[in-house]
Amino acid sequence: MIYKDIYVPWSVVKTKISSTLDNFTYIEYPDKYEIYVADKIFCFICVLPKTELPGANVQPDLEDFEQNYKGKGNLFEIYGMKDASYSPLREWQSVGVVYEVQPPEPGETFKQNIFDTRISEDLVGRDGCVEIVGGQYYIKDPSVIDERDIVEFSVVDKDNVLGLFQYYGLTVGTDVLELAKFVRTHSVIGGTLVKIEPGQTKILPLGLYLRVSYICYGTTSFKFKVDYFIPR
Amino acid sequence: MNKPDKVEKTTQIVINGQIPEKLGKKVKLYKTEEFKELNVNDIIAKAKELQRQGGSGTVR
Repeated sequence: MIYKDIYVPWSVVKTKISSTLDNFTYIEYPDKYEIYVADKIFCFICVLPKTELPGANVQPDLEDFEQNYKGKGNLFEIYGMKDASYSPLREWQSVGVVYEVQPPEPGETFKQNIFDTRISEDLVGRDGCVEIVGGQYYIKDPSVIDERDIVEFSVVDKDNVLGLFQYYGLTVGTDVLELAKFVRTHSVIGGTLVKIEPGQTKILPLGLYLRVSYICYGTTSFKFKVDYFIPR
Repeated sequence: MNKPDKVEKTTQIVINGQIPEKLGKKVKLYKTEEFKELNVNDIIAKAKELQRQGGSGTVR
């Protein structure tokens, strides 16, 4: 589930916590707490500093939280949100990669450029998964694009992460299991940022690959920049 | 517009800038009987379930 984040003070966020304390959780940092309360489609977020800020008396709020709520939140267990446990905790980042698209060589009609980016430890959250909510691509010079060029985005398993290779008679190292293709046969647009919207957050485990396929009919190589929008 | 759904013989595939030594099979999981019409989140959940159960799949 995707929540709409609303930042509120402690005095407000505490009114959203259920009497059974089953709709909130928090993260403790050295200098602050971040408190999350899920309520319908909203995620109420409160940041409580552990030290005084100029012009703000946070001590009463801090004491209230630490004495009455700290150690009690169990949002994830109750709502069965373990698979996406960092959705309401998200802190957005854009992860960019730059690919080099190669043109067809003499005698070839077109060249299919496949770019695989592994979902690595750097990208996944504490549940071992990453959420892809969208992205964008950019080709600086539109003149390098042939009107027949096509781009596709998909998610593939190359290393039997899901354990289905034997199930389908596949071999690690050569074969590929394509889980989903969320952009299919799109004509390529250049000179501007083009949004990639998968339509639904994709929750993907460590070890899968984000695959870009660029079918190139042009005559020159060029840089193809892709950014994925993901929460930490 | 020419939209190839199959790579022709006159076409080379490069993966991350390299020509692969061998091109293997590709199974489109979302087109298989077991996973047809599921979104990727449900595909992964069902894959885990199938992994637990074992068995063989249907490739289309």
